[in-house]
Amino acid sequence: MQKLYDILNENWPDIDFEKEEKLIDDGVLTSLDIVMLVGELNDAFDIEITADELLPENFNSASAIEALVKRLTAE
Amino acid sequence: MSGKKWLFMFALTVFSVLLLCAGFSILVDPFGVFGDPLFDWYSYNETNNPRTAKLAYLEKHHGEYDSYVIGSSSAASLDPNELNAYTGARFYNLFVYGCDTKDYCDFASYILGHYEVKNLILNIGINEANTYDEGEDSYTGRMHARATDRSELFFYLSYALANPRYAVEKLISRAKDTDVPQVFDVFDAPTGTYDKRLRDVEQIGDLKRYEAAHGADFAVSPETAGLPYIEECAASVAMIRDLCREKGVNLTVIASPVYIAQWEAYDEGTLSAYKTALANETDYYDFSLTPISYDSRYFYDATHFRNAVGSMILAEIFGNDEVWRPEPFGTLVTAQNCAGYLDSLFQSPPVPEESDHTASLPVLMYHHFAENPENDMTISPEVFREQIKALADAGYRAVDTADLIAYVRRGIELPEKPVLITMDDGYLSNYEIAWGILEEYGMKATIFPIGSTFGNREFYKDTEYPIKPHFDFDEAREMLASGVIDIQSHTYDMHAWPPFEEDNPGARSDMLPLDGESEEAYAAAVRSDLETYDAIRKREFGEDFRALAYPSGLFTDYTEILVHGAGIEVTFSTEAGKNTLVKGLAQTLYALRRYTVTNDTTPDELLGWLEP
Amino acid sequence: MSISGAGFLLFLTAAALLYYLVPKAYRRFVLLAAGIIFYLSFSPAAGLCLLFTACFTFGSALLLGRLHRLEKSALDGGDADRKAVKARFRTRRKRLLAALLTVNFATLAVFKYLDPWLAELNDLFGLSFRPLNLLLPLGISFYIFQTSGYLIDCFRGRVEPERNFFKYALFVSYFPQMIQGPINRYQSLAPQLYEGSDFDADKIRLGIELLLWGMLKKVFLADPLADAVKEIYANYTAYSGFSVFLGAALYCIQLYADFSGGVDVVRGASQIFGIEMAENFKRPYFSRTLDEFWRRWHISLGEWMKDYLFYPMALSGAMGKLGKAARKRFGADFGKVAVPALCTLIVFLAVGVWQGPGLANIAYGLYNGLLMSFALLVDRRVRAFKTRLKIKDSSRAYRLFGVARTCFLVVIGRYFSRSASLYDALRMLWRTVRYFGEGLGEGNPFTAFGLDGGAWARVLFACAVLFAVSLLQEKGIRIRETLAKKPWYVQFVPLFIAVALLVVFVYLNTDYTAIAYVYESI
Repeated sequence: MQKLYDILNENWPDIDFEKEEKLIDDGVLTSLDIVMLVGELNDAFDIEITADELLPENFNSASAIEALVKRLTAE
Repeated sequence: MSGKKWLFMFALTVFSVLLLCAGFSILVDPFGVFGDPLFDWYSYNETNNPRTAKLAYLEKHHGEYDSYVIGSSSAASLDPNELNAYTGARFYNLFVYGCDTKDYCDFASYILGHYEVKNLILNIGINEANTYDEGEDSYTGRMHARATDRSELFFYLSYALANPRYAVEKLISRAKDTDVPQVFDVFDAPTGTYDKRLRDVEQIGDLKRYEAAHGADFAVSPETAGLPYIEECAASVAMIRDLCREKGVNLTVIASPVYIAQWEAYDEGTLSAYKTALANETDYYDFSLTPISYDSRYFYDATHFRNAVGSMILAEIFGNDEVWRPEPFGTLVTAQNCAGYLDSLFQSPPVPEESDHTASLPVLMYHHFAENPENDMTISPEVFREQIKALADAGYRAVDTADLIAYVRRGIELPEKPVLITMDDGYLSNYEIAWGILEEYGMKATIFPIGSTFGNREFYKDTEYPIKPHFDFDEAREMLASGVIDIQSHTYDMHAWPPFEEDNPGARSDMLPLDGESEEAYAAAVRSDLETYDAIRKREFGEDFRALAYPSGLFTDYTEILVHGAGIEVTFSTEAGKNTLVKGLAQTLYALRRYTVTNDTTPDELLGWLEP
Repeated sequence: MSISGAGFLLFLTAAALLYYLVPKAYRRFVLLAAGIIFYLSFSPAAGLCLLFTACFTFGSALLLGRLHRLEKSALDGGDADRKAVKARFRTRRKRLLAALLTVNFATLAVFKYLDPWLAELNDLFGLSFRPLNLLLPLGISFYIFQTSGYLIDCFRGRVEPERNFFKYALFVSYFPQMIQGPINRYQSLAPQLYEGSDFDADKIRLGIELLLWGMLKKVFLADPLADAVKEIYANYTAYSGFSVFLGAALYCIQLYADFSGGVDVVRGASQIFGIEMAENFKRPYFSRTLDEFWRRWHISLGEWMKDYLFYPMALSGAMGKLGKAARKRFGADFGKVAVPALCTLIVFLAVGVWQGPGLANIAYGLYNGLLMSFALLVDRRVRAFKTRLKIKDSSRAYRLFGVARTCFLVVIGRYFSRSASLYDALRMLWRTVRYFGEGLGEGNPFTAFGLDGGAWARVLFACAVLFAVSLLQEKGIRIRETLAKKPWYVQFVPLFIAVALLVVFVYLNTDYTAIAYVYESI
């Protein structure tokens, strides 16, 4: 979804979110980045991402993040 | 390379590095355990660990000895050379510092069991009853495994694997080694005693100066705990006694001199109990509390008596009256007389009068005499006469160096108001002017001529430089024959005048080492000068020198060691002051101070100096 | 046992031999026994504390697991309102966890902070509480955190609580980690411990090499600097500002060599048993930003803080509300960094407290936290600034600038982390600025505090070697693996040098009495 990609690209213009598959594992996004991202996502999509959701599977790629957001908005 | 191969290589590397370290420790052998193959430097090894190194030394050399001294560091002052002279045996001093009586037993059993032993001297002080079987296990305190029942293999292995720093330190010390003993080689390997040459030349006559320099070593705090191991001590002595009886060894037990502060650290009851316990096991010569105990000059520190005192002990035991001892000195204590002996010892301790064994000796120094003196160092006959007359009138009696030696060695009293008059360089004026005046007033003097300028009338040696005339051998013989003048040494050629010695850059104006001169070269130069002059004196006057005045009063400790080692018994400096001579302490004749008399010195001034 | 001492090496050799001699199923008992012996050799009393924590956290985890099972059966029981059930259990779990963690951390607090705090109270209020003089149990800072991490993982359901006490005890008492960490995770460490490792000569080799490397760092770089650093921090008023700064820089080197060397020894020892522990240092002085530094320095602590403090805090409800409020009040740009910045500050305060008692340590944490929060807050503007000046992040000059700047900031930070008190640290700073050049003319500022020319030469040489190795590692070259492929004589040389140096040096530190002290009096 476009909103997600806007957020990602606006805040981290140097990262190629189309290609990166190991955002967490390779440390492309630092813990601060994650927290900021979570804050933005919570704010933009009115969801509540908790620490339990902070697993590499959920954040390693843009599509994974997309899936997470979709799941939480559904709940 | 496969992992397994690498692990093997690793293990091999660790093993070979350890082997290299062990090899290093074995070759350098800082404790003498492996026979010290490279250096044979046992005076170092023994300083590091005497229990181990002395036995290691004896394993190699015991064939050279047939008698032993056992004790702790206070026994160091019993000289095997003197013992050999008295007994005709071949003694080795097996003392070890910090020993306790368990160590004595270990040593005694071992040497009696493995070596030829004819005589055994056991020296016991008070400290032996303070510890027992301390069981030192460190590298520096361990007993050699052969004298104990511990594994020899483990012993050698542990020394092979000792911290390599010990070996490194030995190499470093080797580079720093000098003839004079240093803190790392305090032993004299052939006799087993300490090498005390340095402390045996220090100036000890002046008690205040001595106490200022060493006072801290004489302070002893009271031993509130008493002597906890009296029984063990007595048992050890009994064991040694029985062992000697069994093997037919002649045993002598000595209780060494104790400095008064150490004696008074214990209460009477404890000391009595100890002495009695020992007496019940064996007779012994008790030297603990004697007149010398009260004078720190007879000791190196609170627990070690001087070599000179060691000589006195042996003289007492073997009845040699050529060596002075105080009255009373050693008593042969037995089980029967012990109680009575201790009673009288405590009731009336042998506190001496200072004047019993000391004497104050002023020395005067002159050089040249002339009718019209150009400077105040030259004395006019009139002034000299006044000075000598004043001395005679005040009751001063002149002495010579032979009198001094008789005093310290055999205790032969000096006159009540002694004075030693000296004259340096050997000027003809001494013969022409001073001799007569001295004879007139019944005085004596000792002249120190320089060997190389003897008889020079006009010129310095064989140059064309003019000098004041010096008297020659015939004139010297005349003066000697009169009994008024004694001739002693001012060195043969170590008081040269460099401006006149252009061809000889190595000319010495005093007895100090030349710049950059090695210790060996210096020792050789000094010995050669002394030998040369001795030969001349013997040839001309029949005897060797016994006294030497240092040119310009300059000398080092090593100079003293060399000079006295060559047989000179009295030396003089140019430091002003009085001297205190102490009976029994020949080194109170070393570096005697002298007052410089000038042409301006009035008789009153002179007498003022000499005032006690 | 010091880890650079002969005793530890002998112990390790014996333990390793025994480990591989014993059948695989029993190997973990060897490790457990080794851990117990090792810990008891340090202090039997401390062993009791360790036992207490082990038992307590073991039981606590089981309690949390029980709650999970109850929750599961409640959900399966068909209760309609799943969300309510979940929420109820979550609250119960949270409360339980809070209580358990409080006890666990209280244990740490008592040993580490009680006496200093009592002393502070005495000073401030003129009271006279007697200090308990408790000996700090070995590794308490590490194992409390390690077990707390385990509890939180059980709380989150990520880890199944261990039911076998002996297995759990091994996790707590595994001896290599006792001395200097790292703080391990249950999921990564426990399976390796329990299964026992096969004899793998290559792994053992890597372990030995790493251990030797760590020891070399410690013996030849850290230890020689110790006295000089101690001297400067104790007597900074006697030295010029330049020397004080130099001293702090030397401390940075000493601390790194000591800490990373110690961790290398520990990881190497663990590798000898075939057990991998995570890296704790990744060449931190090559970092370009302070933020990166803290991802390369004491990594296991950083990771622990991140997973168990930072994320839960930053993603909590309270922080979420705060973030929203900040966005409203200060606009989107500031609002989105407000929460991360605040949480960073709090985390670093925690790091400061973890380091030790005393205001200086707290100041240290605050210093780092403030710098990084600040960096976060102005990040947008800095980036704009860089674009305008056409400074590229990847340019060599900018990278070097980053490294220099980071090192400088770290050195300043060390003023706080090692000085005796906050007051001393501030005075040291003042001294550096105000009296920078004082006394520089007289005497050599490099040798003033006890490092002579020879010592400097050795230290600089060691630094150069360390730098070269680090540079290679930074480029991605794996030194040990590369070395393994070379011919045997090439491999032998560094091995021989390392072993010879270490054997001799460890040897030289065994009991020794200089001959001058052997003989009492001449």
